[in-house]
Amino acid sequence: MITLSENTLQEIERAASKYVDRKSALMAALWAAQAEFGQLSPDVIEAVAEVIGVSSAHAQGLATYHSLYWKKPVGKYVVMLCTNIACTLMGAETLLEHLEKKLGIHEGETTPDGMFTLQEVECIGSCGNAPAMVINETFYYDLTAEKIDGILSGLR
Amino acid sequence: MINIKINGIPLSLEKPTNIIEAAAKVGVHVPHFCYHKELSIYAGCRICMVEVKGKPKLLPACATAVSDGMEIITESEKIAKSRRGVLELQLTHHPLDCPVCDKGGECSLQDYVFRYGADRSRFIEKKREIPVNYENPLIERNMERCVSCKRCVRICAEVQGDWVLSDMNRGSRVTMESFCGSEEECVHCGHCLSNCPVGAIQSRLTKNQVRPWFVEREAETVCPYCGDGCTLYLQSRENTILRALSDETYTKGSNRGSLCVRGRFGYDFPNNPERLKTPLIKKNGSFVEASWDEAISLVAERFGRIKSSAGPDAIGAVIGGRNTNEEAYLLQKFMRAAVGTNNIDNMARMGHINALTALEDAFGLGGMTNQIKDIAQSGAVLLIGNDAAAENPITGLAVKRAVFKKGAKLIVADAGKNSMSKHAALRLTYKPGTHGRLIEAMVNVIFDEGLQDKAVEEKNKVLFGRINVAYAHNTPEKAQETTGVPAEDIRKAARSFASAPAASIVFGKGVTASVCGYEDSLALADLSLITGNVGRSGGGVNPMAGKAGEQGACDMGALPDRLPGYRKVASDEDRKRLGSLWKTEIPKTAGLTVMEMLVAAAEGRVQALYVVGSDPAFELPDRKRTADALSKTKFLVVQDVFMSDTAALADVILPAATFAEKEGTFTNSERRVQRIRPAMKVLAGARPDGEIISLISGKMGRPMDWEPSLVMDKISVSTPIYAGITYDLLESGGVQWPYYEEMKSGTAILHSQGYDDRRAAKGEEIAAKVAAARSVKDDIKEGYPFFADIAVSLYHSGTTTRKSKGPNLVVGGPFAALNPADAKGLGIGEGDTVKVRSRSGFLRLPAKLDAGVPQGIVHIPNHFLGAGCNVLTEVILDPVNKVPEARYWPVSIEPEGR
Amino acid sequence: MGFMEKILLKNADVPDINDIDVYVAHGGYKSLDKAFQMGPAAVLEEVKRSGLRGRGGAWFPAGMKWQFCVEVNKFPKYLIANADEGEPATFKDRPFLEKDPHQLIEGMIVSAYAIGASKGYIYLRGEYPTGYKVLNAAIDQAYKKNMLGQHIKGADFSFDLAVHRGAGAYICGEASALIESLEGKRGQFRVRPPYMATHGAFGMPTVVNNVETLVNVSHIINGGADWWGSIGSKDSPGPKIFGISGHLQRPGLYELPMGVTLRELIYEYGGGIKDGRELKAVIPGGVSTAMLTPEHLDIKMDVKSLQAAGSAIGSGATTVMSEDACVVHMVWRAMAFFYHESCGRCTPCREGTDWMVKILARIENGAGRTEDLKILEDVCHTIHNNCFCPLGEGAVNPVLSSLKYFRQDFEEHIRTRGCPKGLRARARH
Ligand SMILES: Cc1cc2nc3c(=O)[nH]c(=O)nc-3n(C[C@H](O)[C@H](O)[C@H](O)COP(=O)(O)O)c2cc1C
Ligand code: SF4
Ligand code: FES
Repeated sequence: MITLSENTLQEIERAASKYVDRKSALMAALWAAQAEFGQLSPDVIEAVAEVIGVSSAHAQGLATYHSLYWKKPVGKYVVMLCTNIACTLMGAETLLEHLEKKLGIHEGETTPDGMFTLQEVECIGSCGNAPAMVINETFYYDLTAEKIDGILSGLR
Repeated sequence: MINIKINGIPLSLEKPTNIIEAAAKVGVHVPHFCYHKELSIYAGCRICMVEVKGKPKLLPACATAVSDGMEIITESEKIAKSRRGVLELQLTHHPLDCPVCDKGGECSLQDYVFRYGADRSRFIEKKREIPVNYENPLIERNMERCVSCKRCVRICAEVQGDWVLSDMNRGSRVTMESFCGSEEECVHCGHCLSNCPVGAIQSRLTKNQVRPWFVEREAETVCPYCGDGCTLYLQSRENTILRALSDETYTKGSNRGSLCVRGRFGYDFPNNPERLKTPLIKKNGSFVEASWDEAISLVAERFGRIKSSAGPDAIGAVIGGRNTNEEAYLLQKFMRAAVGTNNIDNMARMGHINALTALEDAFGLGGMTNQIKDIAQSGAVLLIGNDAAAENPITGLAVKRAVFKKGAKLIVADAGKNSMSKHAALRLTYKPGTHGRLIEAMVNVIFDEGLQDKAVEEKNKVLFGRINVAYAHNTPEKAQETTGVPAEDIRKAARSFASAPAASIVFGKGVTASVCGYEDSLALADLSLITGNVGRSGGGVNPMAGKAGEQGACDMGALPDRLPGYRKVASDEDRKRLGSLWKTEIPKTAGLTVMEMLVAAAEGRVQALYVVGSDPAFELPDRKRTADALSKTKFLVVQDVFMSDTAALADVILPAATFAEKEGTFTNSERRVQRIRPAMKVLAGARPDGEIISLISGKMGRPMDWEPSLVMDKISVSTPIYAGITYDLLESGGVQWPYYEEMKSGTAILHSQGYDDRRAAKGEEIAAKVAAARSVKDDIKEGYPFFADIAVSLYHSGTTTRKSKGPNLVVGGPFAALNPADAKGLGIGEGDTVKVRSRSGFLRLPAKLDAGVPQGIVHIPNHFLGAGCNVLTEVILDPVNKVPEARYWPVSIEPEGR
Repeated sequence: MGFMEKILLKNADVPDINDIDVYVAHGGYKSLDKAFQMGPAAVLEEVKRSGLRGRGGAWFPAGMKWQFCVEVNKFPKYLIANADEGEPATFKDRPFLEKDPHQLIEGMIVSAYAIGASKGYIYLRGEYPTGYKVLNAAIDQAYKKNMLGQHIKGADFSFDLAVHRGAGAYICGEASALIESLEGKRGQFRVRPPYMATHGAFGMPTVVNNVETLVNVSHIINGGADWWGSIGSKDSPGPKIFGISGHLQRPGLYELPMGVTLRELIYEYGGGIKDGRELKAVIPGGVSTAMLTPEHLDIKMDVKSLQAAGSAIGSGATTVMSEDACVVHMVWRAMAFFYHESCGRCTPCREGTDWMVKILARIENGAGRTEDLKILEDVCHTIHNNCFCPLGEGAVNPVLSSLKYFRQDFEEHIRTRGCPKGLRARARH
């Protein structure tokens, strides 16, 4: 079994102290573990479950319920393109195809060099500046194919 | 009063309930998948929608409480349309593989589709494809068939308390899975499969073998495996057991719908081709088949000859924990009346007897004071020397329920592995054999901090004073030295136990099967007494019987010093009373315990042994010495269903019937007398034990009725605590003794009206004994740094589980489980062979690393042929009941590599 | 109608307004003093009188919700700000979460005071990482200044506040699912009764309010119920942040009085349809609300008017489709969202959204059959009649409304075996 770092454990305890029931900190713990390991592989989930005091199945059930917990390894950059209606109206689907071609992968996949994961996501609350995407924690608005090319090459 | 109408039928209810339950009361079934009365309301399947007058929309019957004046319609065109719509959606992805699905004929989905005619699917898209999960050897999960009712997940969490399953993913991608689909944390109780309304979770043991219309015979009976005594249903066809089912109404017996892996999956040993099918007589060192006549005549004749040549006391009998009350009764009567000796004992001698006599000495009655389900009412539970989740799983469920539903503080005190630890508020790991000191120190703390129950103290001043004095020497600090448990933890345990509104004690062989088993059981009784927990719901002193027949065999007087109903051989009056019933004179001298019989056999004082349903050569300590004594026995008769280590040494083997073939009763740990019923005819060639005993007795000139219901009638006359109990009374669910005819009720909780305070009278005498018999094992510890924990596994109970397919698929062989730190220190890896050696012998076992095993302990389940732990042990007896030390034994561990 | 004076968004362009000192310098946390002076009952009364209705989608009167909770004699009580903002095309709460956090915190403190809540959480959607940092920093500052914690500003009132971060599940925005999620479980609708006013978070009385609802509270206290209630429409008064998106010249956030018409919203504030095209359809309140057509342009954006038009104001997230859009494509995309976000508990919603997204994709991709439209309607009715959380209801609205107003578009797809605009539906997983 994996051991969580001191830092992560501290973060989990800090979160746990905010609730009357420790189990409430399970989401925070999964976030913290994801930050440390980049993904929630089974052994990470197991370690988190142990720390929080729930069954591994319960933790896995929670992890798989949410879209933003990565259950598979992801690239250094996770490109999350919104294709919900506002963005689709503004051309997000063409951009998705553009991204697929550009990165040479299908939606949901990671480039062989481990740099990029391409992920189609639901609304990210940027509809006033659609189409939009998030890469890791940075938002990019009013996208065009050219803009995307610039952003990607800036990251490479 | 709530007055409602369901489909026009008026109904009055005292308490509010939901519409499904209310409808059931007037015989109306409201379709449902996700609703289950033992579970939280989920209201997800949406098939239970009904019309309620005045409400524009249909309402879910499961999630709608009835209220006064409500008028409910459960079937109408509107409702049918809604249900058809839901069923059509339910069927979009459901494979139409009914012909190959084992649920066929008992599937809710099939039934409802049939009823509402949602038979034509308009779904032309591709169906979901999910591979069947075969990780679990007993249970298969086919998630393509799942209707997402989540009953499996909820029952695993809410009833079983294990949270092994969860719903994974979201939306129509949801599947009900264990962690990564593995079976690792599963205890194979099968709750999930018995609760699945469709064929998504099924038993692999019955795959493609059972259809409901196949079943020729079904019997409501009792599981033979442990002292919990669970109600279950056995189904058979062509004299073969097909499967075991749990009670779907969740109301019956002590288990009320729950079963453990042994009960649910360990049912098929009666079908095992290795069954003994004809009497065998040893001639010139090998067994020769014989007729029943021949065998019975031989036994009767040899017993008769030994009786006249060496006296009746040269014959002894022992009965195991798998036999019914009636059989135990017949055997002891045979020994006392036909042979004329008190040399009769039963395998409760391996521990449980210590608890029974201690409780009798403390309160006047030798039985668990409370009820299994009552434990769920506890505010604190002291679970000591019993891995309830493995040894007595249904009791374990009650403890878990107390924790989950009542927020009870669970104190798990054990020297070895205890799978209940994960639910514990406090885990006390004591050094083997020192549990008594721990209990005493808890009593000490309670008096010291003034936590005793003042009202009870007021009424029992003298007794309290004596107890206080008796334990005064053992402060927590002192106990810390002997037990290794931090004094502060002992204080915490004492405080949470004493401060709970009701606190129960649950204990087992870890306490009783030791040289101080009697005293330590008494100490537990004292602990309960001073905290006012005797006679209280959610409190009490609750010893767990290891096998289904143990409690009953004791109740029936299959004991050398006790007559039926714990009357005393030593009492002239008791003997006379029984003697006049039996029209015979009961021998005056107490008989020998099984341990003593073996010594006597080795010395030639006992010449004949009659061993019924047990395997002393495997079960009793010191394999060599036991086998030696058995071989020296001039005439050894073994009556059993399979060949055993002991049977191999016998002169005559009499093939007996299993629990699945006969009538009878078992009395479980909680004093509940319950009927077993035949699910099949007696195997050709075998006979029920009662019949065999009576045949021998008859041949010896003392005919006895063996027909079980008649025997019960006799029992109820000769055994005061069973007075008034008849088969009719036991028709369903059983009765807890003592039974009060005037009130037509058994006794759920003993001593609620006060208790017979023998403890006070015996005070000093016992206090003196408490100090005795302590460090017997010190001299054999030298050079053996570990303790073998000779344990019961969840998957086995002994001979018969060994012969059942299911349990062996999960745990099929012996092993030695070690704490990873210990293993590391010794350079032992998972699967390595280790030699576990004691002063008297050794076992070679594959190692398992298990963080649940405390350091210094090697956990060895004692069930497997060729790996009997009695090669390690020697005979050391407790001074009161002659119970052998059989749980922890000093050993060393040597790695032998791969 | 011109642009109204901003109330809620007045700090939008103030640099560093996330800093508590800057915020206080701009008049922040003033409502606390006033509220503490008034006492909790008076604050509650003021909010009731203002007519404030919840801005999360259901538009339940906030004062009434609070009242239920106040009446329960169980402690502690919880106040939760619903910052899950999951309804597609909704982005109105984001300014408070990422730029102007103290406005939310201030609103929460005053609200908690009125309710008697001693513990609060902001349930923040996982998609707003910046918000997570900003809110946490702001809470830390507020603690340091004793705006949070024990005896706030010396008053006999204590309130603890923390952020709970979601991780991408639309349903967790539904109040009871949100509480489940807060408790570390899979966020799913709770069966009621018991109601949240008595058995909410951790079994305690709980109020869940939308961020925007709570933000309004300090303004009501500061300016008084009369002033605040005089803004906008009678049935649902107050200022409202409208997020408008889609084929518009000037999409974005606009703070306007309730009751502004769709036409004003689109043509005046939104600058009209992008590239001068014709309007085809409008979704007035988020994807879960029924589509409307150009005929509906003069409808007022308030609860009653939109309800009368067969739709709903929802979160006030208005999405506009020009004639360039394919309605079938958009309905398919909306269904893909519901399919993805259905929690999986109710059969109709779970299987219905799955079936519908497949049918819609088939129609869009040229394999539609006439009977598919009937199936869509049937499935919608099964969902509508049998589901118990409003997510399923939301999934029904785009389908039924588009079949009502744009049936010919579906029929054309079926007839011509494909999308006239040449679009395709991607496979969904
Ligand atoms: C599927 C679903 C999603 C919802 N998502 C949100 C949301 O993201 N934010 C929100 O404030 N309310 C959301 N709601 C509404 C909440 O259930 C609840 O009505 C609201 O938070 C109450 O706050 P209010 O009274 O201030 O509007 C959602 C409801 C449903 C059914
Ligand atoms: S083994 Fe014990 S607990 Fe399990 S089913 Fe049988 S009697 Fe019940
Ligand atoms: S039984 Fe009522 S919804 Fe399933």
